[in-house]
Amino acid sequence: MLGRWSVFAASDEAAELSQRLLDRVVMIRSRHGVGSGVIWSPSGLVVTNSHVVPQQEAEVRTRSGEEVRGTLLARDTRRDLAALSIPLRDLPSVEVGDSGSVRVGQLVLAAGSPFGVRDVITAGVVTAVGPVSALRSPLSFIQSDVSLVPGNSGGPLVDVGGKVIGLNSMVITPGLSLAVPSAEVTAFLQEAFRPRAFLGVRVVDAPVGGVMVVGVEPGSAAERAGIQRFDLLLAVNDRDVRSVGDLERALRTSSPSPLRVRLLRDGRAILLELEPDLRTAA
Amino acid sequence: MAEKQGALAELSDQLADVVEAAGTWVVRVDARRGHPASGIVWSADGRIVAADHTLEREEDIRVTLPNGESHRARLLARDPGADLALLAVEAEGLASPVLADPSEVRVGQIALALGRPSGLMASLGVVSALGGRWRTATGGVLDAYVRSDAMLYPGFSGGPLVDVRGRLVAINSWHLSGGAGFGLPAATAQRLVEALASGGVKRGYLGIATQPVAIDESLRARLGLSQGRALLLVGVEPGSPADRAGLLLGDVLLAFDNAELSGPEDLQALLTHDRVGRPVPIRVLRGGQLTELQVVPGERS
Repeated sequence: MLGRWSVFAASDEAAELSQRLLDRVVMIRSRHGVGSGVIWSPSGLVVTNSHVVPQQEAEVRTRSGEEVRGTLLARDTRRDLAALSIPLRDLPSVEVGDSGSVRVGQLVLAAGSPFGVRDVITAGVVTAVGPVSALRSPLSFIQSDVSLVPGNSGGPLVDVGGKVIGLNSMVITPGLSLAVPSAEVTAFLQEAFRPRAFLGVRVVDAPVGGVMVVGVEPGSAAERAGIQRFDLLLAVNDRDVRSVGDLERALRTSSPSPLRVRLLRDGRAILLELEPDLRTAA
Repeated sequence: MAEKQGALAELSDQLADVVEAAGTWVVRVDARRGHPASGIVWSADGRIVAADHTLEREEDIRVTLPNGESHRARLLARDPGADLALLAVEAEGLASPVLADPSEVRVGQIALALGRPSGLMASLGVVSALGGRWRTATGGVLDAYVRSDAMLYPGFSGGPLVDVRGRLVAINSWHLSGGAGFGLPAATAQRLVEALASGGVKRGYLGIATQPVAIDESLRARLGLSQGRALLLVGVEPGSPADRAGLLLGDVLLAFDNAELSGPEDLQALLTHDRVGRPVPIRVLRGGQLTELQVVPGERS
């Protein structure tokens, strides 16, 4: 157990930790309101909640007082995450912790701009880890008793080592705050920045099944391979494509080149082989 | 910006250790629809203490142990005044709490509230106040209370407030407080549990199954009723005190001993030992009309 002097030491350490954490947190202002963000890399990658940046741009203010424009790189509405780029370099950035080894009862700190008040720290413990039954969603959250309000959204939840274990994203009942686990943030960034096969078609779900091409981008892989408007895409690399979601999944998970695309045109099945372009979503 | 292991990290680890250790005797209690609550293993042979107001039924109560085993629980006794109930499950070798010495519980000490409405949950706070004799919302008179600022989440009722050594300081029951974190001190709870176990707290019994219903606005206006809710009788045990009083399936029980009833817990709180064996007036809504009856509560065995 802690000795008498350890309590003073713990308190001092918490104060130091808070100062260093606040250097790594930004305030984000959009037409929608105020939120918070975490400086994820020294080169200006900022991570926040998707709902904090409803548009493609937002005002970002660092603790040192610099106000810059943040540009949306990627968003994931399912996880409620967004990545922004800010035109600043050599920033203090966070270290990412292992959200998988979080324990109920461990101390946590949250930083952010509750109601637009800058540089606010709240502390508490991890209340639970896992899905929240009231949300009827399989997504896991780190639940904590830290006191958060609107404006804290997108700010970091850190352990006592200062490592980010989650991104504060909502308050479910007063005093029960939910954070997206840092592992989900890492997965989001990996997905956003991984090069993916890109066809260059605009598609819609066809009522008869399959995916209907409604537009072909000039100069794209699709155009080069001869894909035409109103072609009905049926399969990619022998995987059936029954919806736009199927097509996205097939492109995301297949090894990029070459792609075998089976389609239906004027009642005839056609098999095309094409060399897709590689792009990142971000 | 990771940090070397310091006093703060040590404190954090120890708090998580306390939760893990105390979590071995915190159980889930299912005795109301859709809203599981918590309970505490009181003895290695399967005695479980729960918050009385979380028991909306007396049959088909289930207790889920920390290892995930779900057991059918028997209701041994209940004390609505203290918001305490004693259950039993068929199990052996269960972990149970060490009780904090009341003389060592101090205002300002760190405390954790634990619950297991689904998985184990915990919140952190301090002991905010210690108090003496008080009257509970359900009419009981208790000799002491412990107040804490640790958040009590839905389903925490019946769970423990523990100190940093993982000892039981109090049983959480926000029902008693109307919101804030109030608890029954461990020593008081122990005395009451002993009384419950030895049958010292006898309870009245009617032999009915009820569920709360809303009373239609127009009906209220016509009969001049102020209450918006009452208890619908969905079961009347043959030969029971309710049956002998002439209560019928479908009757809506409005008041017992001139106290309005809006939920099963209201009736439970009124079925005290002093009402056993004497006629008690009840008001019933039957076929759209008010009816006054008398019932003689029996004693729950």
